[in-house]
Amino acid sequence: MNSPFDTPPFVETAAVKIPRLLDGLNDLTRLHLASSEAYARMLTAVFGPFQPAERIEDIPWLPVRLFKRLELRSVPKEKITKILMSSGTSGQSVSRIFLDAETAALQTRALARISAEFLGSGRSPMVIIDDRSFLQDRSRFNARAAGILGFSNLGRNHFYLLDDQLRPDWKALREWLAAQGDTPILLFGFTFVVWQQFVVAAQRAGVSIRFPAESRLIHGGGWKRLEDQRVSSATFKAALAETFGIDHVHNYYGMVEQVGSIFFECEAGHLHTPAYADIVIRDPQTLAPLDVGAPGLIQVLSLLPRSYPGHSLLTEDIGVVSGIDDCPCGRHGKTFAVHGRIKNVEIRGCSDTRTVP
Amino acid sequence: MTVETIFALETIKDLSEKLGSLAAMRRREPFNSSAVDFVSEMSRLVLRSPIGRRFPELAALAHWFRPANLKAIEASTRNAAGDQFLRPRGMVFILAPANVDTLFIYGWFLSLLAGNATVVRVSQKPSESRDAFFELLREVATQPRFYSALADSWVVSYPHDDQVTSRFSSACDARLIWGGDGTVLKVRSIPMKPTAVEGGFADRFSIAALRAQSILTMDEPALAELVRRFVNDTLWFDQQACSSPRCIYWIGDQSEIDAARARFWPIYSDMAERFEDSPAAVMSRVSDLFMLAAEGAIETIASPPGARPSLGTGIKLNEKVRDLHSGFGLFVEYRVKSLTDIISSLTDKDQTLVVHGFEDNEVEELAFLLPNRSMDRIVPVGLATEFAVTWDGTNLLDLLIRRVSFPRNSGRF
Repeated sequence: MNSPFDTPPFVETAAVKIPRLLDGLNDLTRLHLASSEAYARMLTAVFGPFQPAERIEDIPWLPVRLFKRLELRSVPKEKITKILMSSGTSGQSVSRIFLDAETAALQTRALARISAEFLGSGRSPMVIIDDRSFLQDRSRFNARAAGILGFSNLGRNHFYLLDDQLRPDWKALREWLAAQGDTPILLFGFTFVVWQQFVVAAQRAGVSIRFPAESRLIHGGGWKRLEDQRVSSATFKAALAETFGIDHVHNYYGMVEQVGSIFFECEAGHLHTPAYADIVIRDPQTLAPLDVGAPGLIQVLSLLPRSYPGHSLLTEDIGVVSGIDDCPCGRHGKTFAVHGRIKNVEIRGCSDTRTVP
Repeated sequence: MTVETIFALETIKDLSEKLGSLAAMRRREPFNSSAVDFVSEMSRLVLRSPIGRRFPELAALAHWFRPANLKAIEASTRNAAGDQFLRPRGMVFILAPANVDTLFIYGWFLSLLAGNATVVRVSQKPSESRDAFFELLREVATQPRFYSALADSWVVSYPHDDQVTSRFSSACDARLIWGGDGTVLKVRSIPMKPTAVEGGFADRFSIAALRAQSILTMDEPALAELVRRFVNDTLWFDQQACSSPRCIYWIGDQSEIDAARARFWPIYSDMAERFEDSPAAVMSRVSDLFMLAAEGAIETIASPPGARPSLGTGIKLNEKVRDLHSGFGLFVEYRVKSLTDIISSLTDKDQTLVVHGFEDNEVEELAFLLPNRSMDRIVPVGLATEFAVTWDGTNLLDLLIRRVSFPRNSGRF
């Protein structure tokens, strides 16, 4: 097959992108049908015998929570080089995503190509607003480690701001920053950690640190805990500008089940689908595809997953498509926003102890 | 102390002190008038108040505890005891499940009617119907005539804590545990008095057997009524009650079954609209369907994914189906020629068989052939979630009431 990366991430319009994406996704459905018995049984039972989809909405999907309940692989065990795991909350089962060298490489390349469109192509000195304890076990990665490791490829000369208690070392940061001169800095962290251990921690400690002009922060992982504290995206951005002089802040939407084909927030505040991925919004009741402007469950599609059948997943996140190929930032593709996650159901069977994964 | 009091007549200062005072109280006679009056009054008030309309499960509870049924329960209990005296068991500890909000009330009221001091542990999961019930109960409890019936009841909630469970367990003479298999096993491992008795009511599975021919011959109003009852059987507690059928055996020829399903399901789908269906419930059904397919338990689906009902065409009922199915309006359907064809698939896990369209002698034949521990109830459509004194094959009043043997009028004393 052609490399998906022959195509720049945000240039094609839908008329060109969709047929190319359809071919690639149909190929992946065929690949996984031939390689994973469990996938083949599920697809045949739920969607019937395989027929190439003629619309993106017709690509068969899996509920994302299946990765918590089943070991889904499309390559033999001995080819697996990495297992990504979601960071489940206490007592909950976690997703397990099986990567071989090929899929891991595709993920790395996709992330690099997409982020270059927002960050520029050179590698900047990088601050990671997290600790480095995840580096201990390199074969099993939780979502946090996978995120840090993936994004750390985008920078150089990494500085980890937090210790293993998640306490910032402001003194070390000052010294490190002084050594970088005026070079713009790239920062990465998980949304809640950035807020709590970087912004709020600095404000509490009365720390005043200015980052060089054109420094950028990338953050993701969900707004839930910030919403609980009533921190909006605007508050978040304003606080970063005020506290650190960081004027460029990009949220991203991504998940451990589809690493690499990530959805970045542009300067206009929209999440963008790159050339290697797409989304479909579905009615939370009927699961029928919805039009632009109607909120519903987010289905994510990606050309990257080859070692596991995860190229088309129905998530439990609610979002809405805001436009197609019409973002003021000039990038093409669908633009969308994420509103949060559906409320989980609590019980299964005659039990007051178990929770539904 | 992590124990929260949901209901008690007096303010509780200390767990040990309260347990001591409950144990020291004089026991009320089984079916004493104060208890019967209190339960009857609650039944009357629930049926007359708006909460009966708002929470149909409370209306069902109130109907079940109607005075006529209390009389019948007392009569059959006394009748079964013959010459023996009835005495309360003593102190009873009830652990209630979270999936059926109102189940704890049945156990509690029966224990209260039996004359026991009763400690009830309700789940930590919030429940609107439970709150509404207690609001009404607290009002009733202000009437002095019910003091003696309520003085020895204590309803509590606490996070899973073996130490607290152990305190209550060591004080009780009977323990009733409703819960998942894990909960029941866990609580069972916590000792009670050597003389205490116990009923453990664990996870069970339920099935429906419907004769296709019978559904084909029903007129529309009769069929609508049948489906309405079946919807109640399956959606009242989001199909989470152990006694709600999750699999259906269609009995008949292929063409009869096709035609019966084509009549039955569209009505079900319409009537299901009365019940809330959250996006999380939709996702639960959808992922269960995929799981069932992945495990080879269904070969195709007969409804769009996510629809309610979600219908999977089953291959053979096995443990995978029993384990994976988590309710919310999902059915695995099987086809067999005759009612007794289902027997080979039944296991000890199966509790309730909901049947429609058979003669008494056909059902009796089936009951006679049931394997080992399988199936504790066979009921017509509409009664799956109805409470009964006999639960999982055990008469609860046998656990709640002691019989004192006493050869009356023998002249031997």
